[in-house]
Amino acid sequence: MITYGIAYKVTDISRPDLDAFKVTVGYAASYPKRDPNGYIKRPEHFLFPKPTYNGFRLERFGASEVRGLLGGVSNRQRYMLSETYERAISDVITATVCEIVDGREVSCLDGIDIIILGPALPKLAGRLASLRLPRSVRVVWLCPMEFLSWIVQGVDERVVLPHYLEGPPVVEGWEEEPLVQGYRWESYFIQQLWMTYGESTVKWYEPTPHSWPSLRQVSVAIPKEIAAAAGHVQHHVKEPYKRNEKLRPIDAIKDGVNMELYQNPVATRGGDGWEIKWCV
Amino acid sequence: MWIRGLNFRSKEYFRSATEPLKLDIQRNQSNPITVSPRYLEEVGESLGLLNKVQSYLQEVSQLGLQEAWLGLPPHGHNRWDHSVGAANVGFIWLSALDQDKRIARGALRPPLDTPEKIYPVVVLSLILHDYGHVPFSHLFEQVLESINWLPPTADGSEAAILPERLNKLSKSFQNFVAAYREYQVESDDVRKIVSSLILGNYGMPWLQAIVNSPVDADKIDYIRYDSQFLSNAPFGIRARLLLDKVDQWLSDFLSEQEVNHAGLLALHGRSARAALELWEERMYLYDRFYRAPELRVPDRMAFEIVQQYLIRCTMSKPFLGKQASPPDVKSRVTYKLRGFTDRVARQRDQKPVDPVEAKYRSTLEVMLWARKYGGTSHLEFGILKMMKEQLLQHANIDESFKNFLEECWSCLSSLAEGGVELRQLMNNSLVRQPLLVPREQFDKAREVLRPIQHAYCAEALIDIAKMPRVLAAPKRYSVRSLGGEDKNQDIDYQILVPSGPLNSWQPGKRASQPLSDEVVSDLEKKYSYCRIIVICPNAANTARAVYIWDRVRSVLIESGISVHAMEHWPP
Amino acid sequence: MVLKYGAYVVSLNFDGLTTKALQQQAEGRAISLHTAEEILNYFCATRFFHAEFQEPPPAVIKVRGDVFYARCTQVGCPWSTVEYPIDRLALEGTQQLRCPHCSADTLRLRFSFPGYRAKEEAAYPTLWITRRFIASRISCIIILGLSGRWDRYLLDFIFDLALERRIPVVDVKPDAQEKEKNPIDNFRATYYPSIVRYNDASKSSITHKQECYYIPIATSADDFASALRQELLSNSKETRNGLRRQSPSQPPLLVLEGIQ
Repeated sequence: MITYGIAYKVTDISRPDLDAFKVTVGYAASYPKRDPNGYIKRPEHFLFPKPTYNGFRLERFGASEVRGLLGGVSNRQRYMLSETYERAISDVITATVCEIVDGREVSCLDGIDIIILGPALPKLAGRLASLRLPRSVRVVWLCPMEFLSWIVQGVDERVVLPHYLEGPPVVEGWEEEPLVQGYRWESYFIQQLWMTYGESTVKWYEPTPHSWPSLRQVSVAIPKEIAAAAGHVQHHVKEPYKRNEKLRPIDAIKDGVNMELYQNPVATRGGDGWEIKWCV
Repeated sequence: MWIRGLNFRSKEYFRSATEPLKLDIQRNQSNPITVSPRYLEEVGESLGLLNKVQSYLQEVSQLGLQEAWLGLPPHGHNRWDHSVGAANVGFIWLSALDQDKRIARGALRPPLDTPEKIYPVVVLSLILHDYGHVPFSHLFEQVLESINWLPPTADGSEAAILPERLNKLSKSFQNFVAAYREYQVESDDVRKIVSSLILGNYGMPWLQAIVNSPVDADKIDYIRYDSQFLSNAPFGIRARLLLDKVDQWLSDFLSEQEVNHAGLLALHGRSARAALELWEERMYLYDRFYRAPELRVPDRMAFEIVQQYLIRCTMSKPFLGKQASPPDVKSRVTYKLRGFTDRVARQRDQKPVDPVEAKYRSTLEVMLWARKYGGTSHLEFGILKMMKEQLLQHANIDESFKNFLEECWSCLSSLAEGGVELRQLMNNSLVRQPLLVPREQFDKAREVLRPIQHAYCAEALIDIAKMPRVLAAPKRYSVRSLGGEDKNQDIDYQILVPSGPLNSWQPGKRASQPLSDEVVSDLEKKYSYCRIIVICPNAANTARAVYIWDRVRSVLIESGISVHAMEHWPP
Repeated sequence: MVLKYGAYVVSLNFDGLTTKALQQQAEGRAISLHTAEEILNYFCATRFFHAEFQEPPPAVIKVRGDVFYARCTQVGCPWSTVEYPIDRLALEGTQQLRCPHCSADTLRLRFSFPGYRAKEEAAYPTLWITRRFIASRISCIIILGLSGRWDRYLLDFIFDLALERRIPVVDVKPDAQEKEKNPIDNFRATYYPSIVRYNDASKSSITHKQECYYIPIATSADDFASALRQELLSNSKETRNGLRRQSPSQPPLLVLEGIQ
């Protein structure tokens, strides 16, 4: 089983003449049966314009309406902005999944796990469904709880997490939720699974000892693939990687995660990324 | 190199090159209005239009894939014949208004300030009005609309393609300017005028009405053209307004028309009545032919193939790369096709591109590139076949979905080869009966059904077809109600019609109100619905198919959408 | 322009001077249209069944009506329930204000000023029906002598129209370039950011063809109008299809293509 971890970060572009944002995306892979047994794709930026809202409107501060402290209140401008961001993220991730599935030499028949760091978005679930991917491809979203400060998008991701994730794990998929199922695992993370082709049973992503560090050593458990992807996306956001640059080390501790466990001392450059050997 | 003048004459309107068309519609009861085919041919010859326009339009079928579903060869029903027909209608129309002095002085503005200057512009605009069509045309737009890949500012793929196409006809526009020096305009100005007229935003309302409006020459001719096609096709309906004797209906339509001081086209009594008949006929054709369930079954199968192909080409760079360098193309040319990731900005110094715009441009490029697969004998069917083959060859598509596509293709090719009849395919594949939902709930229904379609993509197709508006205007604009804040959409005031109920539009009744959606609301109500069908190729009567149909229906009801199963089904 | 080129005049003024000026030029044949119904009747006038009728006279569309209105104080008179524009009254002979309906000396003049929402709302039907008839023929909106400070609903209308039809808005006033002193530019920046200020167009993040600009021109209305008149009436080849940019020493005029 080949595992890919995709991470992304959304940042505004701070220029007075440009009202835009960028989605920085990167991924890391582990190939258990190969040597070297991993790969990190050099992250990329994708720039998109922010929407402009036109029309004379009065926004009065009234005496009784709900402001939306925890979200859930419609505001046309915020809706347009959310829609634009979610569409951009979904398109970028979809293109990345296509690159992974269609561009790799490894056949999908061997089975592929694609883990995305962050909450599931309906637009992304729909786009993935449109690709009619083989059933050997499994897509999982992992959302660490609490959100890690170094990967949040500047918004409250809790707003996008469905209410049912507060309850016990779901064994069978309900037909009312045909595309995505989810549950909260211990206190560590929320897992959402993309359901394919009307399946009624759920095959949750379960960590193997090989890919997860011991729970005594870390306070948040995340697979090494998405930890590495997220770390390098963070690097690329702060200072973009140049074409033939070496892989930079990821900072030692982030929000209680011992990133040293995800370091890749053996990394060779090649093409659009680095071939690596995992420490863990 | 240039299209000869005689090619501009349509035998449907002018039996011979010498016999004029006579219209007995003059107001002062003097000699009838005669429209000379020779003058039309002279105008056509003077345009200096490049041959490639005719070649291109002859390759695009008027009804897209529907001709193949009816087992008929596409050659005989192409867009060139229709464009010539529309140009003839426009010419006759203008002649009637001009010869009977019905154009008010204030209605003519520079550079088109005399009727003589308008004839060549009308003929040129109507000849080119379909020049912006891509293969599949309407199916292509439906595919993009279904996945929200049409930019909100887009005026249709024609509006995106036409300006580029017209740019490549610069030689023709230079010929025009040389032939008509009295216009005192540049060739670029002619191109802009023609483009504006075709796209529906030219500032002379009555002239705009002839070229692109709810009652334009295009509609008049394609209703005639398609009605004739139907009369020879193995399809169980016949048009009611056959326009067998075209001068008869045209005489009625032109008899009580004028252009008033404000440049608006006034359709008094008899003319308004004729226009109403045309709208009724158009809606009838949409209901019983263009969007009939019998034709929607194969259309939806083709839709799935086109949609899958375009999604993959746009979002998957490796897949697109294989299309750009097909091993079996003789020329061995590598085409430069750019997908989503190639079009969006990557560097800070690049201009950010809206993702919808990027995907839209990518699909346009792919469709234009795919034209070369159409060939001369199969037109769009050849392109569809190529798309199907590329999808089935692709390793990373679910096998059961590929089998489903193969089943769909088997149905389509049987239809095209005459191996199965349309009605037979419908009976074998359309599950239970169509469901009707109000047109204003179309968007909501589509979003509600989207996840269901994904869940059952390897077993069934869900089709949702919306009936068009009665008044097919190029664009609708915002309208604020009296003193209100809400904005609706309606057409510009360009055409005048009589007031009162539609059945009171009788000969002699004066046009006194602008035409708008509200005016035809009674007719609109009859067709204000969407039809939803569930298609399981050759498996309509299985328990699984019925289960899926039931889920579709229940999901719609649970979402608060008003659903009715179509009565008297099958017809 | 009205008489020679068939232009339509939409007046936001409260006086009857525009109509009077037009009447003088058109030998007395000019009318003002105050209500949506009057505008509708004007544009829908036809002569197919009435060959002897003359062409309608040139018209001024009065959006905000007139500052002076007359109302009859005779109870029961039809004119007692409406405010009638004073420019409709043919004051001949004694110049005495008599009600045309009841002939009594019961007409009283009233003032009706801007600044009230109700007055703006009353203007809406007139504006919107005008828009539906002539919006397709507009290639450019030129604002002359309007500060915009008290006209936010009107500005909303103008910018909404410009954005919908993708036509430029030209704002002519002496301090047009000074953003702080220009309420119209501030309104645009706040509520219609998609309409890009012309000087900043090249730096816009919008990548599809930008057809909607706001163009501030710092000159007086009189200077601009006379330059415009000179260009249009010169009947030169360049100006038949638009205005051309002039040398920097003259008031700047920009290319506004598509003028019919």
